[in-house]
Amino acid sequence: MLVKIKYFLLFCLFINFLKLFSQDDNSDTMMMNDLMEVVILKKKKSISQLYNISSNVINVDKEELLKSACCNISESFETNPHIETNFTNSIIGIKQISLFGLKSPYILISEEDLPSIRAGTQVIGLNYIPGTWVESIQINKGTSNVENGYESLTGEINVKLKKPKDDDPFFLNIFRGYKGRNELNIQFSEKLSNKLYSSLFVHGSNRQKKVDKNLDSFLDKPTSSQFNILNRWQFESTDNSFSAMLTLNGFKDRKKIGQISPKNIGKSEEKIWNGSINTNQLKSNFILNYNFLDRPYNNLTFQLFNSFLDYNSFYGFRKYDFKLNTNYLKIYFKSIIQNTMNKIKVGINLVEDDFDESLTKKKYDRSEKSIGGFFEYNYDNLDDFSFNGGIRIDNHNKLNTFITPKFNLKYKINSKSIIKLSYGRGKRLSSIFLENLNFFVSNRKIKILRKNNLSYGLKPELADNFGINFNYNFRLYKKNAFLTFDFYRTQFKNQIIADYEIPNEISFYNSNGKSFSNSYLIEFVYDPIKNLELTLAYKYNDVKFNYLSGLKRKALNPEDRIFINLNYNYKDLNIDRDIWRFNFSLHAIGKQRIPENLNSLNGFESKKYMLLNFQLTKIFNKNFELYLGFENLANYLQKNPIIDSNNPFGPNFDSSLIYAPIVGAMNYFGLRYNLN
Amino acid sequence: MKKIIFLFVLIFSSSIYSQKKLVNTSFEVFGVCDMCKSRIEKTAFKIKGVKDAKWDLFTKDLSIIFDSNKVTLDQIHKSIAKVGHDTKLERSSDKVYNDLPGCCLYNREEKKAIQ
Repeated sequence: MLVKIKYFLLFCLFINFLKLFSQDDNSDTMMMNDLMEVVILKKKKSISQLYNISSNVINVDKEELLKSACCNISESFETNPHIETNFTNSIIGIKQISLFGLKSPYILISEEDLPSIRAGTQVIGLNYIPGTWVESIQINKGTSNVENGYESLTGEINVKLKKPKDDDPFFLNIFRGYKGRNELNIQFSEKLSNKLYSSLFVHGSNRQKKVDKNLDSFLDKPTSSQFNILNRWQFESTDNSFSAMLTLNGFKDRKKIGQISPKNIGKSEEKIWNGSINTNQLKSNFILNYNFLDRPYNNLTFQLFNSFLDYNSFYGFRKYDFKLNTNYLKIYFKSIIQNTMNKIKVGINLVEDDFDESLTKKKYDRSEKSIGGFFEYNYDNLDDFSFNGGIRIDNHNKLNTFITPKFNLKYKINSKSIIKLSYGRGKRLSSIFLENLNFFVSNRKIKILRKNNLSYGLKPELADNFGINFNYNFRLYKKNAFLTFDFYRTQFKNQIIADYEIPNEISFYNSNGKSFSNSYLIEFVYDPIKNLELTLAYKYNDVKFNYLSGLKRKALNPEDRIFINLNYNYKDLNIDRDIWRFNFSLHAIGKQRIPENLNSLNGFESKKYMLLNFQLTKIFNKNFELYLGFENLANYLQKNPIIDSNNPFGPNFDSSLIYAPIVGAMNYFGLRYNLN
Repeated sequence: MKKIIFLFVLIFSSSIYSQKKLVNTSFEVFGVCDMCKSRIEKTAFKIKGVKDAKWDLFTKDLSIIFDSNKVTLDQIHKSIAKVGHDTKLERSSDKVYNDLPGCCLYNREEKKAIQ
């Protein structure tokens, strides 16, 4: 802890040091600040904190998504420090994200403000939204809104897809990665009449090349093929009172994992460990919005979401199927009390989830239904203070009736500093197997410590989340600088733990004690010269879980993370357009606790390591650009990711303790073409 | 649960069927910065019957919705001029104008010359 404080102080010192040398003249600070706000309005940053609302939201624009290889959304968080990108099992080919050091199922993930990736499907869902489809992403730290239910424990990520009305008529993206990863995105948008617009997005990707660089006979990444299609219809009445959006989406994904062909390892076909993962989904999202013309602050919205997800897979001897059928209806009405300084929102949610789940031969089918009502009040004094508070009551067939409160407040201390506070509570039933896909490529024995008659015999998890966010804008060497400090505490009750502490065994249970996460972030954003943006961040995630064997640091969780990003857009002043874009990012990942295992009986701590990514884009004209990039430039690898890989049917075979990349330095290139 | 739905319908219907004569309009208000914005909007909201007020920093337009049974447009112009911001109809007193913070002093003379 002392070391951490030292780092923190050093960081503060560094910023003060820079400030000392700044030529900031106090007499014209006020003017500067006002001018500054004008400038920001004109040239919006591709990633920005939303200062005008009371919750802590970071908006990520589509321009930001161009900075990384970013084939899908789960990879798009690599250029900012707010969401942590992790390496789970690249053997099963799924990239994981986390927030405050806690897994993605604790984040509420919504598309167009409706929670569409839920009930544990967060671990796979983000992999099926191609980056080129996205208009913007909102990262909401801390539990914020009551309108989207009670399931958010740490925060919310909302994805907005490109709207047919505003989108380019044609877009093409071709991507080729070094390990045989190919991608193709073709997108059309058309204006059909003055009221009707439509889009058709098609995504195809595959990786056929079998790669085993570490010679453990297992594929380092699965071979895969994905086909994903999206069709959108947007309607707007001529007087703007009615608007509607229908989104239809379906995908099909095939993955093969496991040992490569028998010839290479001198074994017969039967003794080969292999597996396959097939994922299909069909979903539809319909939004109908009515605006009262004479009272634009009155607004009625109807949203209906239906989805069928089918995940079926086998891993050696284990066969795992997960089917989820969801119907989600949300109706809400926005209005005011007296005037628009006092806004209210009331509404209802109806949710129906049908799970059809089986692991080997055991069934875990269940059906969950809930109805809930919410009320939210928002006050803004138009100056320095705003407040947002909400409450919801839900009736759930497994959880009975319960109340969920949430609130946020914002106070503008002076023209340069803003402080935000938040509190919220969340509750959820988890899908324990899907949320812990890691253990499937292992022969760990599964144990569930049952407590009741619910599907897995486990109680729902409950968490309280408190947060403080502080923003300070200032001038440094006559340039804009932004300093952010975050502290978030998440405190669990009956937390469901997937316990890897005993080798050869995975156990699931409700923890009796108080598991918690304390997450600290300090971020410094500075534009030292025009078009160059520097981001420095240090994150300290102190996550402790109350395991059966006692309160311990969460396994495979780096406590410290350092993030550096440099982005430079080289502008040709004659044509007033960027012609080159450079982006470099560094993630330094701290030590992680590794549970006891066959290779090291007392467990150990992983070494710290660094990940470097670089991307260069050449913009030829406003329609055409080429890009080229490298990932994991420092080529850091985990040496033996699979324990006892020679004996995949033996009891010790285990790939669930992966803490670093398995695939080394990779390059990629691609092109983007759009017509407008 | 029935109570929730009832409450929902109640709030919904009361906001739609209230007997108000709403006027939705906009007019120019002179000002410079975000401090002006806050002052102009706050002043507008203090007037009884004003439902919504938004001042645009670039166009200088104040978009306003008010209940004409409770307040008139003239009264709104007057109230805003009273806190130091000129409109096309009302000019604020020199004393109030001169007391505005430095950054809020919009160019008054120039505006006069143009007219």
